[in-house]
Amino acid sequence: MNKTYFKLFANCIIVKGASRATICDLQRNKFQLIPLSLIDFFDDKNLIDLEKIKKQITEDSIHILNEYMDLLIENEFIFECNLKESKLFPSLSMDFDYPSTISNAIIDYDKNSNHNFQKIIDEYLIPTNCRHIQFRFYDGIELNYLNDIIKIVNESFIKSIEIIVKYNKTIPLERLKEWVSENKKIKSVTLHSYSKNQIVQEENFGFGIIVAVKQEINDESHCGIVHHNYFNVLIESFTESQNHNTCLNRKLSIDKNGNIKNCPSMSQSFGNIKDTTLEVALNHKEFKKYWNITKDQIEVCKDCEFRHICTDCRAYIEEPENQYSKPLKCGYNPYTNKWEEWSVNPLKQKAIKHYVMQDLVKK
Amino acid sequence: MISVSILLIVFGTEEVFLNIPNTNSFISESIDENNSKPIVDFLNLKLNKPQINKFSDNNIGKLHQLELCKLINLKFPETLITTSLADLKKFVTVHKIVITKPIENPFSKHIVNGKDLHFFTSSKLITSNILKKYTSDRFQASLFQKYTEKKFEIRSFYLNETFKSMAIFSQQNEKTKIDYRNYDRERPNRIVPFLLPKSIEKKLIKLMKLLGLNCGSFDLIYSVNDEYVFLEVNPIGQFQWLSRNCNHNIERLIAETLTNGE
Ligand code: SF4
Repeated sequence: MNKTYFKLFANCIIVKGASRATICDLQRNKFQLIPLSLIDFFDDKNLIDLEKIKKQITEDSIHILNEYMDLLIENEFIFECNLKESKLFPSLSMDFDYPSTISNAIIDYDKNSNHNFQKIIDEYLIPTNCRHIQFRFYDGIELNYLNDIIKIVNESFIKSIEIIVKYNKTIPLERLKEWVSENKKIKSVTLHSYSKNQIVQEENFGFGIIVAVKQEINDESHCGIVHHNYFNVLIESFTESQNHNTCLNRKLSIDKNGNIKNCPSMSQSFGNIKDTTLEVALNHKEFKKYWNITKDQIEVCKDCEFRHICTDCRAYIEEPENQYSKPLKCGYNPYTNKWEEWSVNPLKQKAIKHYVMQDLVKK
Repeated sequence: MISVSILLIVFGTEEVFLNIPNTNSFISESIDENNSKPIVDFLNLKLNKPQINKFSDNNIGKLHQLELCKLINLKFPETLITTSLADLKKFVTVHKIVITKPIENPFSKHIVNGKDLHFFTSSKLITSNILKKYTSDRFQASLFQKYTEKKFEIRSFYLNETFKSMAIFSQQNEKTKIDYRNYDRERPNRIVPFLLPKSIEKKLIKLMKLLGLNCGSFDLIYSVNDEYVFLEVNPIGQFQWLSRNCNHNIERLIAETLTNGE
C-alpha cells in the first residue's frame, strides 16, 4: 500500500535526443547529460518503481542502476513519495504567456548611424511593452552619449539593457565600472576589440557585469553562434521554445541604417524608422513569419537533446534557401554527440560563401 | 510600545527566541504618516468594482485564524501563548521541539535611545537545551507551537476559490529546515507545482469566507504523518515567486479578476 516510488521533480525535464538525453533543471538553470537507457526507468507519469526494476534487471547491471539512482538523487532530480502523493504533483505547465507584443529588441549603431534613441524607445518599444533591449555599437562611442540613452531607459519601464560597445580609450575602465553600478538597469556591458579577454566587473544578481573581449565585433555577422555557454535553462525560454522560435519570437530590431527588421542580420526590412510606423511594420504579413518556427521543426535540431535550451538562429543557416535548416554556426552533431568547429566543416562552405563570411571565419 | 529591557534580552542572547510582538502598527503608521487614509477609505467604499481584498484586511490576526481553524476542523500545530518560562518548559517537555514565531507581522519598528530599530523575525527552534540557558521567569507574551515534522511545505495562492499551489521541499536542505526564507542560492529548495486535495481546499475556502477575504497566501505543512497542517494565511502574500517557479501565471488571473475578464 505505502510502497515507495521516486518521482521526477516537475521542473526537471527530460529531453530526448538521437543518442542521449538531457535533464533540464529549469529551477537551478543547469542541464545534466544522461544516457537514453536511464529514461526507460521512468514510467509515463515520471515515476521510478525501483523494486520492480530490480526484479527485472540482471545481477550485473545492478551497479549501473545504482549509479543512475545516485546521479538522480545527488542532483535532487527525484524525490520519494507513495502513489497517492505522486498524483498531487502535476507536471509543469508548458504555457508561454507573455504580457507584451515585443519582448526583446536589438538596436544596432555604427559611426554612420544617426538614430534618435528617444524616438525609437518612445515610438517603437514602449507601445509594445518591450522590457529588454540590446544595444550594439560597432564603433567606439562617448560615455556621455551612452549616458543620454541610459537616462531615457531609466525613466521608462524598460527593465534591462545589454550594451555591446567597442573599447574606447577615452573611457577609463574605473569610470565605466562606476557608471554601470550607478545605472541598475544595465545587465551587461561587453567591450569588444579590447587587448585581451577579461571580466572587468562581476555580476551582481544577474546585473552589472562588464566583460572585455579581444574579438572585434564590427558588424551583425558576428551574431548567431550556437554554443553551450549560451544555453538558457529557464522556465521562460524552455516553455517559449515549445511553440516559438527561441531567437526571433517577439523580437524587433533596428539595424544600423534605421531599418526595422526581425533581426539585423536578416536582409528583409519592413521599412525605415524615418518613414515607417511601428504599426505598419508589425502588421506586415511577413513580420511574424519566423516567430513560430520551433526547434522541433528544424532539421537536425529536432533530434538534438539541447533543442529546448539552445537559442536558434534563422539569419545564418546551413541551406540559405531552406528556412527549416540547421543554424549555420552550430558545430554540434546530435547523432555523434561531438562538438566541432563549425567554420571548417566542408558541408558549410557554400553557406559561408553565400553570407560573405569568409573574412569572419578566417580570424 | 515595547520596553527596553526586553530588547536587551534580545540583544544579549545568541539564541534569540523572544519575538517582539508587534501588531500592524507598522502599516497603520505609514498610512497616517502619508495622510492617505481618506483615499484608502474611499477605495474601500468602491464595492461595485472588482477588488482583491481591502486594506483593512491586513489586520486579520493569526490568533483569530487559528481559532477559526478549530471551528472548521482544520488541523494546526499545538499552540501556546505565554509569558511564563515554567509554562514554556512544560510545553517543550511534552512536544520536544517547539518553534516560536512572531504573533503578527514579522517586521517591527522600535525606538531605542532615539534611534529607529527595525527587526525582522523569522521562526526559531526551541528545545529544552536552549531553555536551560535561560534564567528570567517572565518574558513578553510570545507564541509557541509544536514543531511539525514535515515531508514538504505548501504555499498556496488563493483568489476567489481558485488555488495555485506549490510544494517546497525544505527538508532536503539543512539550512532551510526551519524557515524556507533562509534561501540557499546555489541549491535552492525544490519548488514544484502542487494540487491540494479537494477536501482541504473546501476547508480553506470556508476559512476564507469566515475571515471575509477573497485573496490570500496559505502556508501549510504536509507532515510526516501525511497530514495537512495549517500555519497561516497572509492577505498580502507575495505571489511572484510562486507564479514564476510553477509557471502558474497568477498575474493573468489577477488581471482578469480586476478587469472582470474584459
Ligand atoms: S543541433 Fe540545433 S538544437 Fe542542437 S545545439 Fe545545434 S543549434 Fe542547438
